[in-house]
Amino acid sequence: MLNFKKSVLMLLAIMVGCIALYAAPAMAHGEKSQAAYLRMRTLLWYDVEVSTTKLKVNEELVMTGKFYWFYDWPSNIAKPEVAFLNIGIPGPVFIRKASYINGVSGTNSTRFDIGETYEFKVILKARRAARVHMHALMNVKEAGPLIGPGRWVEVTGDMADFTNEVTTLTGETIDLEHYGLVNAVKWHIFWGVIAAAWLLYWIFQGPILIPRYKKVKLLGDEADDMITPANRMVGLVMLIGTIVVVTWSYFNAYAQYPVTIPLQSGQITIPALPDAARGVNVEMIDARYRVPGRALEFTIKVTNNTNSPIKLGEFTSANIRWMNPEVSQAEPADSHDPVASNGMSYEGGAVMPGQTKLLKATCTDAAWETYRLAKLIYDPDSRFGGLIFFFDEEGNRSVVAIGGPLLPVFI
Amino acid sequence: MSAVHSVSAITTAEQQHRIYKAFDWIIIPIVVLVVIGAFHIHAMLTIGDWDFWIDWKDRRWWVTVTPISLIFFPAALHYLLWENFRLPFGATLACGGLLIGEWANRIANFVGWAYFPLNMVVPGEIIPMALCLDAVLIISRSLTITGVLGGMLWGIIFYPANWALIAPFHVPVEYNGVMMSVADLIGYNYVRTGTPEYIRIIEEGTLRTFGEDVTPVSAFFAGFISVLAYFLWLYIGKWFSKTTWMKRI
Repeated sequence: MLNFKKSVLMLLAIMVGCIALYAAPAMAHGEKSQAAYLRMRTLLWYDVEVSTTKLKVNEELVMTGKFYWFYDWPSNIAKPEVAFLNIGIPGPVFIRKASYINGVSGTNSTRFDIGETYEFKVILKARRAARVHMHALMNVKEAGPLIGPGRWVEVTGDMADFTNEVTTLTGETIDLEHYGLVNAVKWHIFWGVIAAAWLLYWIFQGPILIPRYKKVKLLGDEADDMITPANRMVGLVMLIGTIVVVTWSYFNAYAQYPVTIPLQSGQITIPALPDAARGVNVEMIDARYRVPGRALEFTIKVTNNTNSPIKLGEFTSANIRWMNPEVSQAEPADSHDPVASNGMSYEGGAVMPGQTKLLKATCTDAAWETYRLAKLIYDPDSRFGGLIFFFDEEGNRSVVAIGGPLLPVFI
Repeated sequence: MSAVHSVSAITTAEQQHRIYKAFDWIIIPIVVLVVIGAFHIHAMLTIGDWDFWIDWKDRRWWVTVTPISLIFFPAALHYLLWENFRLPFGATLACGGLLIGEWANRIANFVGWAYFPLNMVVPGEIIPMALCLDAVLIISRSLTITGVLGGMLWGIIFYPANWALIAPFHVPVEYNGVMMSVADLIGYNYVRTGTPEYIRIIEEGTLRTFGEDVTPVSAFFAGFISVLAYFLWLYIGKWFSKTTWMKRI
């Protein structure tokens, strides 16, 4: 016959074992989870780089890049009236030493303009040992996080060696890792002891539940007499004592910290970068997604108002890059960097200065499927978007946003 | 058979005392655990970030929201313990339990799992408010007076009781050309992916303040609403402490 307790314990052990075996560390931040049209037509990141992918605790890493707020912003997504440049990491593996948008400090939330380009720089200091997939990230109020390209970064060393010292405007140098903690814990212990004494004062007066319940019911309206004058005196001392200690602690803290300021909450507006198109105009003529070939094919009318011939070198959208290796080359930075090194080709050749020309481009790669962009044709808003990069013979780059309806080709 | 049932197994006063004491030792720990769990969930859902983060503890919203939200359980426990047992420690029991839950959560989750520094996530101090509420009850022996005087004191005393803890975090710092408080800087330094700066609901400045300081207005408002909330939750406490099915004890 089965022992009931043993059976329950065995079932629990099996359950815990299954959960432990099944649970895997989170390796991504949902970069594939949002609908394709949202990823392609909101924030388009490019030129994102990290200064190093291996560093020790207390060493610094710099992440740089650019982002473009897509001109055909989905109407169901809140516009970036209030947004905050962030970093996607699992907890404070790094501290953010500084962040800049077009050279302006990004400590405050910011308003951005649709259709404009900004560059960013985030300086991070390694705090604890970990191997993390770190993303550039833009939080947009009422829209949510718009995630940028990610990089695997490995931090080694001991978190105990980490310090985060700053000097206040009152001249004191403090370590933010521990600052104010002893004082706060001291006060919590002080009040905790008083609270415990007050509770124990009652609990150790013998059995308190059944006898007191019976007495309350027996005495009825006279039950208040159960509270003795001595009990009330204890209450009075506790009330006066609490008010005296709180008052003293309040004024003592003011004496210790005579200069204090409220929490800061300002917001800023940062001017955009100059137009990255540099005189190249593009008009979308036609775009189709060929399902069997996993290929985006689009035809564009390009007008070159620069002084040099230009060629199409790259298409990027939703943090994926399709490269035309004859014009521009790039390789994946790590195993999770979606770069199709030979993913792009086009017909039409160079566009001469002053010339207007039709170019037909094809962007092919399994990333359309693995990054769930092919699902665009099943989205409620089947319009695509992205950036195309033109290069002249000297390597100068023109970045132009393109987008429009996307027709699927199933056969 | 009926004669057998009418004979109690307890035959001496000493036995009765032992049984009553054992009942205390069974029930009180269960009540404490239930209070810790229930009050903690309530606090996380209604106060949440205001109590989690040092850079949310502002002088307007934190001061207003916390006392109003936290008086619910003390009021309900006041009714339960006072009306049935004439025990005046409902507020201290609730707030002490909440702090045990909060400290366990901050140390295990925020520091142990997510590696935030502990000074960033120290919970607000609420014991002085609870002591005052209990003290007014035992002195006055009246839930009505406790609601009016104690409720107002509960709201007013919250900010002064916490200033000793948070004042160091309001010292100004110049950082990358911007003036911030130490608390702001901690919030900026220690990256929170899902909690961007704009999500903070803190004082943003308004024309409708007395002079420059908004705290007294917020504290009195919190006290006023705490009075109303106290009476509302007395009734909820009454509803939860019915003894409909207990015919005799």
